Amino acid sequence: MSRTKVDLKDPAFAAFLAFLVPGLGHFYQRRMFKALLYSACILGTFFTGLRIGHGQVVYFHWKQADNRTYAYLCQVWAGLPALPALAQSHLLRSKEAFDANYVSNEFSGPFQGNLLDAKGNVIGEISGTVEIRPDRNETANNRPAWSGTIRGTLKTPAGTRNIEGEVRRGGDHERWVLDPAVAPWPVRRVFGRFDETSDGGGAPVRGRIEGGIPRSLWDSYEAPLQDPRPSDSGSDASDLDRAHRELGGRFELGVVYTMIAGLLNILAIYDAYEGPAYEDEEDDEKTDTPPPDAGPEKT
Amino acid sequence: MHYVLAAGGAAALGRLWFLPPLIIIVSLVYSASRYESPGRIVRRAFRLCVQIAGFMAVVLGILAWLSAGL
Repeated sequence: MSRTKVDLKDPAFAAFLAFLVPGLGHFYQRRMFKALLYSACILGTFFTGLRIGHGQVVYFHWKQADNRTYAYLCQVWAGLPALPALAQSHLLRSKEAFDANYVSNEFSGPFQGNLLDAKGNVIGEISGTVEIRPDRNETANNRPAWSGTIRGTLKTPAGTRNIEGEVRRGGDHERWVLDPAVAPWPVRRVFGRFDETSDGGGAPVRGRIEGGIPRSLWDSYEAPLQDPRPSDSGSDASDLDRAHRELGGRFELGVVYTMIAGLLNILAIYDAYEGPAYEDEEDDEKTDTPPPDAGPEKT
Repeated sequence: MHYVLAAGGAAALGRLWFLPPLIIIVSLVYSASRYESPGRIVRRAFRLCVQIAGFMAVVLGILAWLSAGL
């Protein structure tokens, strides 16, 4: 039962709006101060936490019992900003979208990276575009594989020139990798063997390439961190390991911030539904001074 | 070894800067869910803010005292 004289309009609808976007329910009820306060505080806390955790602290993962994201049960109350995590989970994405080296269809995108020789020395910096396509021959052997073409410019200490070449996975070495299509990092890494096909005026450049393609917001926002798999090996086997290694204590800080934002919105939702817990007149009896004309009513 | 511990302590202290914004925000949102008048919300939030900070300072003092000999 509401103890307030505030006009709550349709409380259930207001509570629903307050869940979707913190402060929106109060905006609907024309409680502008609270709408601003809730939206600034809760959304500010949520996105600050997301920023602290480099976008890797809000995701939904429930299949593997050891790595369930119980924190998401708190974060989800932040509403729309947290709901894409559900869409990014395996529920709405294909299983292969989270597999490294898997390419279902040819795609292209801007590329930025370094070209290295066999000993690992940097030859120069390549920027341009890359086209990646599935390697049907290798994939037929149950080994996800890909190859691609890079076109762009090679910048070396000697100067800058146009370059074109083939890039491919080139072996089972853990460093030869095309990152999964969906992951919480903004860049999809491409590490592979490079063979120049353009005529550079000298011996064609061969070596390895280490670079990346920018991920779209849809492919990275609240994408789940993947668990290690039995076939994985190497230091980057688990996304969770990589996130902890890169972020350190900031990972937990980000989780705590986003969890608190979600929990605070529960208070805001309840306030939109029921109104404030106390009438203003009930509070501060001791500190409030009585009005000057207060006194016993004369008959 | 002492340098490593000192660096770890400094990092932990640096992380404390993430705490005051949380205290302020929690106080504001909690008070806003209790009262309707903006002035009263701000006054109550300030009071709650001081209470939380004081409580945590006491806990910090106790923990520091307990771990002083370690």
